[in-house]
Amino acid sequence: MTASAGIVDILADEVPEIAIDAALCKKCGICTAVCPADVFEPDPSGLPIVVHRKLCIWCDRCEIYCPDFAIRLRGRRGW
Amino acid sequence: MPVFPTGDIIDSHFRTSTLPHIWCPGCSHGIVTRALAQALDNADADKDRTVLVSGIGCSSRATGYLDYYTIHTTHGRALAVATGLKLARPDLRVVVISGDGDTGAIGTSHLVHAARRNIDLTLVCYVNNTYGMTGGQGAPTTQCGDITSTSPFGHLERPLDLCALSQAAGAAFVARATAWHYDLLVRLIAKGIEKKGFAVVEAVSSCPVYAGRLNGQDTPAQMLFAMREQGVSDPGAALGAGQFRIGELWDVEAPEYVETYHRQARGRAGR
Repeated sequence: MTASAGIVDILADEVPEIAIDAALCKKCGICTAVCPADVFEPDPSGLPIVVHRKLCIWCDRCEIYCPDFAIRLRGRRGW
Repeated sequence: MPVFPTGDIIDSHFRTSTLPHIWCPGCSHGIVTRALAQALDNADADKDRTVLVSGIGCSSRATGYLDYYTIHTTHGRALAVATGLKLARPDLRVVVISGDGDTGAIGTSHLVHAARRNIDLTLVCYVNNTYGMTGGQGAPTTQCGDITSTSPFGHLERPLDLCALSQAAGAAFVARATAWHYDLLVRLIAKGIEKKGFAVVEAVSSCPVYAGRLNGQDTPAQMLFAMREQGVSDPGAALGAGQFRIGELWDVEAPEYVETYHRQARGRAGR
């Protein structure tokens, strides 16, 4: 929580950086299935690719449901 | 306290050099282990004063990945080793990681007697309804009618309810959540860790490779979504087929064994 709580945080990011660690990913497809905003699409090998980053609503689902700890959401939240 | 999971939990609570872990693609054990790490963080567990003890099985590999003092014991005996550890060093916080086969079959007597003594341990039991590590054999928690590699025409035995068993045996805190109900799982494990007495948290996980594939659940995500329907949090709601209650199931105050033991020992020694 920033000191300016209650005021719109102009430094906040609209969407996070979505980092997928290909060395950890086991291509189970959970992130693609749980994402409510269809941010991911699997490439031919099954590795999830961030295709619509701007649609991300920062719900954290992909990060917490990734059983292989391969997804990291980075950025400054506005809330 | 709201849960805002971030990758920091992985960096600060895991031995990241040991990753990727051995669990199969889509195995919910990873989600449950992250919830456990988050709960240890929420409960302000001191890394030098917390010991994680596990038995044998897929779930019990978790101790290898978590950056705490850890003991990987023999099959079913995690609670027995943890009991000895807690009695010798009451200052340590001891969390036991175990699977349903470990707790419900090979080590059932240890579960019953740890609960009976109400010793200050926290048991996090990963329940995936099968023996994943050895090839998907039927476990005591396998649902009636499920296909396993040892029951190709459907499992005939009825499943064992580990929560009801622990409650009947005398545990002070009994709770259940699933990998899907992540925030609830984090809260319940943290509460179990802080509870004085024997706390059992059943973490419903999934085995997509054996249990899922043999029972028509083709993808790991399908199994995860199924947990949303299976877990019933309303205590008054009727349970349908395959459903179970989640949340806090039992929470009482009872005399704790280590405390009473040391009080008696001090009394006998005249101190």
